[in-house]
Amino acid sequence: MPKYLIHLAQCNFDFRRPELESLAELYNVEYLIPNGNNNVFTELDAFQTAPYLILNLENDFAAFNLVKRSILTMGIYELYGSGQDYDSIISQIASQKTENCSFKQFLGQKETVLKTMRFQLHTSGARSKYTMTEQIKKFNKFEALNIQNKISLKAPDIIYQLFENFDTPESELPSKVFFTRLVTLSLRSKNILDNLRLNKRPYIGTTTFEPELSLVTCNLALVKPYKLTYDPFCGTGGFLSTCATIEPKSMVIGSDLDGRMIRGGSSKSSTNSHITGRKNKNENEDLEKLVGKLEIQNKKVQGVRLNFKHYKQEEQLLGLMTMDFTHNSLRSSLKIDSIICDPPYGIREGIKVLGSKNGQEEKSKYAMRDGKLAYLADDYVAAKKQYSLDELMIDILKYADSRLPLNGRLAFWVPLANAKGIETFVMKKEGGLVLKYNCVQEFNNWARRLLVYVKTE
Amino acid sequence: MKLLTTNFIKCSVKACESSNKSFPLKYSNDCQLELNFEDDDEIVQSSYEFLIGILDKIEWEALLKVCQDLGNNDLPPNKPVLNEDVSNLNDNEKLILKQLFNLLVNTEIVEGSMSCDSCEHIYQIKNGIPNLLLPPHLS
Repeated sequence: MPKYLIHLAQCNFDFRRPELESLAELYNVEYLIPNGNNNVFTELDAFQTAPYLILNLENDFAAFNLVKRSILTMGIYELYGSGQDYDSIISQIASQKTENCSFKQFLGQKETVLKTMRFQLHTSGARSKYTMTEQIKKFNKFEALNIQNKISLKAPDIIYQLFENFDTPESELPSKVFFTRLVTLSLRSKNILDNLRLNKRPYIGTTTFEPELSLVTCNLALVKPYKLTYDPFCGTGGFLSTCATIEPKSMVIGSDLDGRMIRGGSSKSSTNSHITGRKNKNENEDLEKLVGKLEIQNKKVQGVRLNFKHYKQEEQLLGLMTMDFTHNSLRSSLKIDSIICDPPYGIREGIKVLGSKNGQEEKSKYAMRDGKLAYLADDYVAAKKQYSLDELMIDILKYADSRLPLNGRLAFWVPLANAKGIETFVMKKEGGLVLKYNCVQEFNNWARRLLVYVKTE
Repeated sequence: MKLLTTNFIKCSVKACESSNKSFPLKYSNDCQLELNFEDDDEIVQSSYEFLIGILDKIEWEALLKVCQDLGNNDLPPNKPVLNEDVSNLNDNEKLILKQLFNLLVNTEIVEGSMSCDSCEHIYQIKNGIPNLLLPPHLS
């Protein structure tokens, strides 16, 4: 099998292996190594901060599928040679017979000859880049391999990529160099994070989830084209937007106990006031204009729907409703394929569900206002009661267990510990749901974890 | 809310769970409807595959009933069966998809109310968002 090199993003290390494994599963990429418990991603655990992962995959198609939707990698490349320096790689390739040399096989393909190409160089670690002249000197060494393709700097068909790995920023020479060919860049390299940046999003709230890990959450939950993803605590719709963006044919549905968050106009959310409040206004002028235009065309577009309009994803949003998760209104015959959420933890937002303390039931049933039953009024605000995170987690698990199809996934965030410092209890299993991943994101004074469950029976 | 959403939601009251009268909810005939965007063939065409995906999730009987509530009696009695291969759609199928798009995705219920046939609780729709919360004696 040909060798590939994955160029990894240098962040959120705990999530890198789960993401690649999930994508492999999603696109049926063979990643288990026969006769053992290991798989091709095991190495990521041994050396957590590694900039590269080298693995065997069936072909370019498998490599393309594995990385195209990933957020925690930069891209995937077919690996032709690695060593101390370029001369050793070149002499190694030159001495190999065609049947053992993937580079010669690639050059030998009929289609390859007519294609244009370009060389690129990337250095890992904090080391400074080379000047153009220094780079060209390195590229010219590869003349020895008799590459016949015409050069096109603007739009090459083939990109030969050189990687140099420096152990420390002070190192004089790279510890290893790689000669590769680009198969595909990841969504990360295609600017998806920039497009979803919170300061460029028309509608956000105080607890809107950051784009990067919310995209990773979508990958771990295996959101699929033409399949339904549900966020029962959607708030300002951060997960809904990222889900619709990472998979432009996916369908999303969201609900939240607090309707003001969905509709917009709550004190905890803002529609582009964060844009006008910023110092460097120029950058966001276009967005301001755009938001203005959206509002003129559709007078009432506000809240979560404004984001969907802004990203041109309106048809992907199948429904939004004010609803208590524990009193769920989605009909039980509706197939939900993935559930993703960031429930209130009781740290940044209090946990509440419908209901009241003892004795209120009778009162609410007969309370009158303006000659009508109060609870039927237009502006009736339903009573809510405090709830605990443990109860909520069990409710989420039970709900997911009853609604997900076989192999369907539930991905949700919980704090590592509550406000009193008591560690959150993590269930390994609930009904047919089994805990698959448990990844931690650290902050200065607290941490949260992403729990991913798979429906197994 | 999109008209499509009516096909997903039932009454929130736990006691209504087992009743087949709690889905679909009954929509009052004073619901205000609005079109989301102007008639745009380009958007419709780019959504063919998507619409076929949505159609798969629809319970047709319930859709018929909701449309009747809202004063539209023109839907065919059975769910249309469409060619899954989008490049091979005939004109009639394209027309059906366009109509479905206008009905399901383009039509928005902005204000109004809906009720459960089983417990008779009334839910409000405000600013295009249905409110499915319950007062304490029902929750």
